[in-house]
Amino acid sequence: MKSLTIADKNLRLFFRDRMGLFWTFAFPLLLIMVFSLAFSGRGSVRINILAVQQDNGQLANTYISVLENVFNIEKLENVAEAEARVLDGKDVGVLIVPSGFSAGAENARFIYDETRGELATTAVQIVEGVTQQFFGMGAPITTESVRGGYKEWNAAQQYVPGMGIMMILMVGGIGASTRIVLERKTGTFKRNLLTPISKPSFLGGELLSGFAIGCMQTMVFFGVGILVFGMPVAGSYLLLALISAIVIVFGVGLGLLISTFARSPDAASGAVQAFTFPAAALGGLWFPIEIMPGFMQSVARIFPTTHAMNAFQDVIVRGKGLLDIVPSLAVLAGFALFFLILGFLLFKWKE
Amino acid sequence: MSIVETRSLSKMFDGRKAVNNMNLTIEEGELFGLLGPNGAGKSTTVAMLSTILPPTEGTAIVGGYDIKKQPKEVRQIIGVVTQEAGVYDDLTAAENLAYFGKLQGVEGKKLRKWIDELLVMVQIKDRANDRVKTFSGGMKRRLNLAVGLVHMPKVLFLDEPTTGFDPQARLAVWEIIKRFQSKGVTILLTTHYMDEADYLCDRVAVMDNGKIIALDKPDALKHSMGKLETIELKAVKVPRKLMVELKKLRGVKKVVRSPEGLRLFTPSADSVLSQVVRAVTDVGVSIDSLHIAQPTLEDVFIKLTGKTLRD
Repeated sequence: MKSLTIADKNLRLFFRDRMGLFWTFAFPLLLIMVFSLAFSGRGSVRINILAVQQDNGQLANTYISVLENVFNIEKLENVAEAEARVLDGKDVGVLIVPSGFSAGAENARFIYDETRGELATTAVQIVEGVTQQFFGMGAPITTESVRGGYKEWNAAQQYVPGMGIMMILMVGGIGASTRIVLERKTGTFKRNLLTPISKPSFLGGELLSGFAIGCMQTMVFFGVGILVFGMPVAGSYLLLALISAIVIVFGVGLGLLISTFARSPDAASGAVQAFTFPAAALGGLWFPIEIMPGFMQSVARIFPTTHAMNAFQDVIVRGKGLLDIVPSLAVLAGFALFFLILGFLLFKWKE
Repeated sequence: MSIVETRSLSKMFDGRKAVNNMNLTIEEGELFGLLGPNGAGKSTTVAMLSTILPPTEGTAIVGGYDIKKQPKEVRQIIGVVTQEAGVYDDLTAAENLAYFGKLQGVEGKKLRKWIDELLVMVQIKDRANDRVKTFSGGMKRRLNLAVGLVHMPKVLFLDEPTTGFDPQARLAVWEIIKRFQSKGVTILLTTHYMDEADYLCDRVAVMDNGKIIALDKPDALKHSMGKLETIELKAVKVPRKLMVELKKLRGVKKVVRSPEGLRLFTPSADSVLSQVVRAVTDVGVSIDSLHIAQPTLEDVFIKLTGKTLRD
């Protein structure tokens, strides 16, 4: 109950800080917009693939038309030309439907550019999924990877969760840490100490208000991503909410921990940024992790941001379920709890 | 019946005793003053009594609760007004009071009614819904007073409530404190203003270097000066030579520097006044003003310690 009172006070203070509102909502949206537009090669969020249809049987025609519901398919006559375009990085993959496909004599082939990372994996999964749905088990499809070079990807799917994670961590971390440091400096912390509340009540209030602000951010970022940028979400919205919740707790825990050693609001803000920016850059929040050198990709695994981004992309891009993202969630939740508990233990409930 | 009782209460900071073996009792409904210069240990005493600073030795019982063993219970029955205005600048005056009232466990209509009364009492009712950042320093401090009372505490600790105030603002706060006391609240007031302690307090403990060096009613303390009268001499520059000459005069018992000039203690001010004027003019000091006064609590402090409250 006391935590609710403290959270209510924090939220009132938060909504009266216009600059804070700008950094919390408007600035991240600006980042999402700038990055999404800058790195977006097309307005459509549907994946473009090529198709070479060498079988004109009814089954082949129906199969291609089903795939056209999911992909933007450009049909070519020549397999070599199609393969060259994939190798050039112009297209993520090509579906070849050979003669004899309708008669059941030949399998379709999906040749994809593995260097396109998320996009390629998504395309393969969709092709396999649709084919399996169409034909059932033992679907007549084989996949082959080639190494090309990608030049475009689905920008909103990268930048909505990417900038979202970064700004939730920044706002959660800076919000909690600077508020606590300021309270200590201005004497309001002493005032709170003089009331019969406990340390868990006070920190519970911080967590609750930080969580509420993080939830608002999540709704704004994903809302704008989906409604304005047309970002497709292949998986469950509930899973997006679950991942977001853990990221928010992580951000508040980070702020709490930093408040235990920062002596000024500037120092607290600087410490949060010193953690968040490298974690964002190396965790694949700014650019897909696949474009980094191999050893850097290994380094990235130590950052909770990498696991948060993986979980988001698994749900948004690959449509994976809870069981599939449990490993990423476990690492992320581990970091969140570690920061939160350490911050709680180190927090001094005295002047 | 005593409501505050300290038992050998002590606090050490880096080997220095900020509060040294303090034993005192404050009666229910009393307005008790701790008078002393900066660094005497007054605020340290309040911090210990309000449970935010653990004593090094000894303890205290506040409202029947031990400050070491039952800090939460103690905080439920005390109100504290700190030197700094610990209020949220971006909340309104009413919101600040509601916030701290709720943390103290007061809710609903009872809280709203009491907040209204408090806002009237501290004379900021018309600004109740304005953000505190638009308030003057005096208004903030008055709100701070109200925050200390928002849960209707049994005991109120006022730590230097008028430090830095102009005379008019101090008078306003004194009246508020008197009104608090009339509601039956026991008040412990720390101050280094002798006139404040004299005007407000039922009893005063004079503190210096962490120790209580005198404790009585203000009048009784002043009477302890005996029949000494005080000559206050205001002058811009007082050379050491003048102090030496004045001490040599028959009938002058003590000479001390004051912020405005000098204070002389004598059994008969009238009989030494002309000699004092001569001695001052002989050393070439021009007198701004000279008058005979009755002993004050500051004189008591000077008598006991040989220094002024502002030394």
